[in-house]
Amino acid sequence: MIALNTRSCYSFMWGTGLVDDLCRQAKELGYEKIALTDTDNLCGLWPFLDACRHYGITPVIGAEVTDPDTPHRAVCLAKTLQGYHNLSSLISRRHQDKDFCLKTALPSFSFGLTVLTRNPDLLAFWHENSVDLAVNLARHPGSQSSTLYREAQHLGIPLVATPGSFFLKPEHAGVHRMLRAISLNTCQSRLGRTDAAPDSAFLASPQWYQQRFSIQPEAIRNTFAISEKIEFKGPDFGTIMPPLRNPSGIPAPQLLYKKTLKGARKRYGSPLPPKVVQRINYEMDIIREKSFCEYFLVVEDIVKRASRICGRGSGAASIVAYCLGITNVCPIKFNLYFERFLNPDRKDPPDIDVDFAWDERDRILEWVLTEFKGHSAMVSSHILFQPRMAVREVAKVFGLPDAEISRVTKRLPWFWRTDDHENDLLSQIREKPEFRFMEFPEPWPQIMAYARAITGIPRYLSVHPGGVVITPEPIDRYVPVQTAPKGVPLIQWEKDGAETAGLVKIDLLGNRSLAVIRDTIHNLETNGKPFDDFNQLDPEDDYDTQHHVAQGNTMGCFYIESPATRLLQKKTRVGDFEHLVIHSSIIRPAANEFIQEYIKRLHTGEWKPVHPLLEGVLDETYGIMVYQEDVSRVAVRIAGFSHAEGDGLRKIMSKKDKRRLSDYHDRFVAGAGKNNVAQTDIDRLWSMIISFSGYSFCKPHSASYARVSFQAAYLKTHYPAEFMAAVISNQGGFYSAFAYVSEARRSGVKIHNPDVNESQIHWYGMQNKLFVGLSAVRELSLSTAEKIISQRRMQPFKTPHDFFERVRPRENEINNLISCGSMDSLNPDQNRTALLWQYHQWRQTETRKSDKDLFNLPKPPAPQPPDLPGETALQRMRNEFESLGFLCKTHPMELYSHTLQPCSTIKAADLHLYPGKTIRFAGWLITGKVVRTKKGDPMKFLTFEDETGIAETVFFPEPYARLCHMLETGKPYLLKGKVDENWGAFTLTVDQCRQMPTISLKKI
Amino acid sequence: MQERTVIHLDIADFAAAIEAGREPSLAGRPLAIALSGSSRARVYDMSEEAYCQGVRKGMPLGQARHRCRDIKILPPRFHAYEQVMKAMFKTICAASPRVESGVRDGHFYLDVSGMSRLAGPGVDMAFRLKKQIEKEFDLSPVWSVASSKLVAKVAARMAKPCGEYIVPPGDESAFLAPLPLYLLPMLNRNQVRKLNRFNLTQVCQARELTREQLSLLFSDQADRFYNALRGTDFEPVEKPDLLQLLSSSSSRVQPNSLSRATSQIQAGSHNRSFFLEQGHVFAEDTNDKSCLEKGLYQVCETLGAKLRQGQYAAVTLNIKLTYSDGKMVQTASAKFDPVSSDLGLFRQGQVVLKKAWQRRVRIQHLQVRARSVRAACLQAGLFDSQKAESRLVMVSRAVDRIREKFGACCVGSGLSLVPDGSS
Repeated sequence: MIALNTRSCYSFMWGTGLVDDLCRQAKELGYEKIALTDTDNLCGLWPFLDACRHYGITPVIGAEVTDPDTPHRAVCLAKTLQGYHNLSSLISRRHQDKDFCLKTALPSFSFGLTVLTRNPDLLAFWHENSVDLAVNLARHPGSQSSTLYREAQHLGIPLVATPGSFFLKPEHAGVHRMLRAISLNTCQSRLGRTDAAPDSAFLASPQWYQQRFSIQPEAIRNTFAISEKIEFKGPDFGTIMPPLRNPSGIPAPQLLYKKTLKGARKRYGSPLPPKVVQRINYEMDIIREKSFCEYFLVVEDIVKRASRICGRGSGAASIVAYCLGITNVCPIKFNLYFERFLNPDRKDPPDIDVDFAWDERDRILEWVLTEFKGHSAMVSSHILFQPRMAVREVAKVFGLPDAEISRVTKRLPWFWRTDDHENDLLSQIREKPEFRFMEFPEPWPQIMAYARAITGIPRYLSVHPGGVVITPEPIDRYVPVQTAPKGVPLIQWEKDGAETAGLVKIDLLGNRSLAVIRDTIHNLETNGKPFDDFNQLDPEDDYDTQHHVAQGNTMGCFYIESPATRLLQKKTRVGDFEHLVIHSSIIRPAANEFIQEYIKRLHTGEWKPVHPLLEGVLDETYGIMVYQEDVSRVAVRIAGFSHAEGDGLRKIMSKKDKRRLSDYHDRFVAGAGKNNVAQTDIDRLWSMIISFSGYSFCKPHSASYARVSFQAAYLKTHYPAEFMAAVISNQGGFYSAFAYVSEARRSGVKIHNPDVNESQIHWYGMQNKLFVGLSAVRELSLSTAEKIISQRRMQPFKTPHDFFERVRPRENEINNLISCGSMDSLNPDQNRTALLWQYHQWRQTETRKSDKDLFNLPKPPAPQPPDLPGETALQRMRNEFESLGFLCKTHPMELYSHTLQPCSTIKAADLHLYPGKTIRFAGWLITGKVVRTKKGDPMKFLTFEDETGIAETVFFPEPYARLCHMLETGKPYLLKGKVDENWGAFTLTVDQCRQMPTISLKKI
Repeated sequence: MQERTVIHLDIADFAAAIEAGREPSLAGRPLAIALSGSSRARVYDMSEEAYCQGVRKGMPLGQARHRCRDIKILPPRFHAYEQVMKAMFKTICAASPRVESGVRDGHFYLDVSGMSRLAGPGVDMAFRLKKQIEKEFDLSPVWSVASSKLVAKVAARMAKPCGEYIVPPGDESAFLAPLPLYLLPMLNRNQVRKLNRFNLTQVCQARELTREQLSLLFSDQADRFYNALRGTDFEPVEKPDLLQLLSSSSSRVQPNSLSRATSQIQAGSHNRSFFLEQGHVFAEDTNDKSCLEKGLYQVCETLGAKLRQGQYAAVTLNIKLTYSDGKMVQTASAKFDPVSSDLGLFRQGQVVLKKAWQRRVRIQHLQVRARSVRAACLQAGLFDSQKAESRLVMVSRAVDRIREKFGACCVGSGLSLVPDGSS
């Protein structure tokens, strides 16, 4: 028998078996041919074809298409490529047409398909419309008196036995019911008859079905007859390039070359240096050979619509991309490895990733999807049950309250490596230090068992952050398309599937720092300081910028503002571009242990390669593997891998495919052995390669990011007010507005309170002054802020009453506007309390105006303002802090100077004077990051600041466990600890900590 | 006008105090009562120890845990708090006809004006009540005596967490003058903040505002605030609710012989109809349909027996479910033809249960309340639509007689055979 109707876990929340397991079991049961027919999708197509190849089974491509409004359903099997196209289109219609009706829609897509159904009322209509039909007898032979049987006999439609399976083994029925209960948001005991498949819906052996269908043996025979008609074994589209809209008619290679040369002249001047021409020609040859010309041109067409971009990923290694404006780093100047992006041996299409300003990205994406309507869609992400989600959902089905569930799940990691949950989940959890003292009474063992069973099963489709695919033919011919909840078209394959299919993905991602740079430059231009937007200026060559970067003065600068990176900058004391590229890549969890070694080698200059064969390979990174391509390069040099093989190793490592990684390991060992590398060195190098996997970047990517970092650092160095205004306005970055305001103040910038007659909605800078935007005022709605701006344009506000009349703010809005000082200019003689009283007077008058009075009596006059107590300076600051979240004129820590006098505290700027000493420090907590020691104990790096500077602190596990409950961002603390020095960077290892009390009104 | 004497009894942290009394190991430990079922759970009540560590009512639970790491969190048991409130109410009612109580908060006001000849001075009465509550309920109330509810409340707030405060008549204004505004019970947090924005933080400062000036800020409430700032409060101590009295006076407790569960019947009169109430606490909280139906059937059996005994029949059912996380859901049926058979009640109950049971969280307690009428008052059906029910009633009566003779466990329905705790 041929299994013509099986479902995998891609029948979302119905099927339980992974595609690989399905194929393995089918092989073990003796099936030679099997059809994967998931419900309304082809999500599992590529894993299915891969698994069939691996287990030596012939695949049959199909899907079960359902009707949204009736119980009608049909299993469609693709006999030919045309059938596949039709199936893909039919599934797309099923998802995208609101009025989809399976009965009427299927005939027009039936060419090349064999359709199996068990709905008797569909047989006659589809038979009349020449659909290649068979009756689907799932699991049981039909009764000869049934309508289905009689109708099939009448029309001469063959009966076909199918497994109709939803799970692989009888014992998986419970897991299936669990999935159904999760999906239906109910508990297992309340599942109705049609809510779940029967317990018999597992994949049995061919013999079992033969026995079952012994009264209808033709149903088994017909499976062979049908399968013989199926010649389609899976799509092979080759590489599908985005179509080029080329009105000029010039062939793509010529057009690309022409545009590249034009861009090169702009970048390098005319005549072009021979090195540039040589590199362009080299790359063009490969691009032409790989037929990638259209792809480059389409991406160029997209990026030119944005104000500024940052080409990320390996694409930044291409000079063609650089000349076309897709990337911004010169690959010759920074010695970027083009083969990492494209090489003649590379089988899979590489993708170009481009960052856009965060507020422009949706517009760009919309343009692409509109321009290529019907030919473009976003790539999906298959969201799988991870242990955390699985435990939570199963526990809900068991009826446990959220609090009890959270007690366990909050200690679980968000993602688990696939090999981590091979064994019993509960015993693994018990081994974790976080669960040391936790009990797991019933039903937790059951919950864990179910959670283990559903981990790895896909739950739903989500939208990939920025991947978009453009095809020359309508896209639903290649892959079923559905509509994501946010309205964009979405293909059913994720990025790996799309890549295997040959669909070339373009990543369009959002980046706040690009908007920061754009807005800073715009601010400068508005101030009458034209800026050439780094067209002629190389920020990495600017001495002052380099100095600031070397000092770690990079708060607000893209990618290099985190405390860890700033400390690294301080320790290395280098601020040139080449080193910044290394630093952007080495700061990641997997490479932490190499950072100390790197700093040592940088300062001492003493190091030697792990093996003599690696001489010259890792010289620029002091013999340390820093970039992704270092893996490929080491494999090429040590084990004699080809470039393509080395690249393959890099990709497999990031995907953590254990089976294929083991193959690579064997080849690495064998290759290195041939090169006479000692076994100990092989093991050492392999462990370095493995430890390197996970979160690594390639050099072009790091260089591309470092370029943006340098642009930001340049702007911060020379135009701190304008730069900080843009950072805060774009709400991007690692820190709060409070911390950025302090940083601006430390840079010598004067902060101006908001003013209803001066402020813009966003922040802006001018002549070393930072003007707080109305967007910073708490509870002020955007519409009111816009009204303030529009009314002011007509005429500036003259009096508070004039402001109230024209803007008509709500009470909470005026409270904050007055508290932050934005109304001070309208009434300089009176205190802010009097302004507030005026508002209430105005509001009462307004209310009375609308009161209907039968006798038209004169309205009583508004009461005289009372003699209100005066506002103290501290009260004023407190109100300002409440309405803005920071103080414009001073740092809050300055207010504690009286309290701190007896404590003999040291200021942040003076920490370096006390290395190895135990001191007291009072600071405002601005950010923090929890990490875990090798034993799994939590500890925290916290950043505090006072009016003089920033202090980085470490709370090791013991003090962290003791003190963590009181640590809250945005509060002042008194710390006691030891000042530690590491390569010139000073940190405070905290032992004691207490929160500073609220300042009493009497203190000032 | 006759001078009033108002006693205020306030059991600080009522829910936490009850939980601590129930579990002695919790005494002296920071404790919070919180509906921990939702991700946005907030603190419902907390012990003094938790309060001292910064935990406040209404605070997000996550924040409370952050401030007080060793805090013990317990789900609220509203039913238990109500029971204690009712019992205390009954005790306090003996002291005065004018008693007002809060809802599950341990607050009581007694107007004892004019009772000094009968029961002694207000201060003595208050002291005796405190002692009585301590003895009967093992709870220690803060108490105060003043001429109005407002001043008594502020005085109790001054005395917290333990002790007493007596404000002699005529001293109200002077007593309030230096106090911060947030101690006044009628001012909510936003109103206090509003006054603070004008740099008014104490009662004596706010008193400087005229009625007109106050009306600018608080319009309709200005008069009330004006009086309150001067310690003038005419709000009466409200009489106890008649229905509440009836139901509490006629309640009695009896153990459920069919399971480990506890149950109680409450009967209240409301015109010609009666309310019968029966609860079932599941031995282990459950979300298994068969277990819930078993519990429902047991409740219906007990209710049915009572109905038949008194010649009553139920015409509506109300089901209240208490979930493991403390949340409660209540659903009522529409009026149906009178039923008093076990199976008839169960069928009606199934319909209501289906409507009420909307969450997956396990259920701890199921309560059924039946509005019942005398069977004799019912008009006979014209078309004999009650025939089936009559037959079921006859079966139920036969079962009642067997049980009366041989014990409750000698005969039972198959619906009761589901093992407890299966899920």
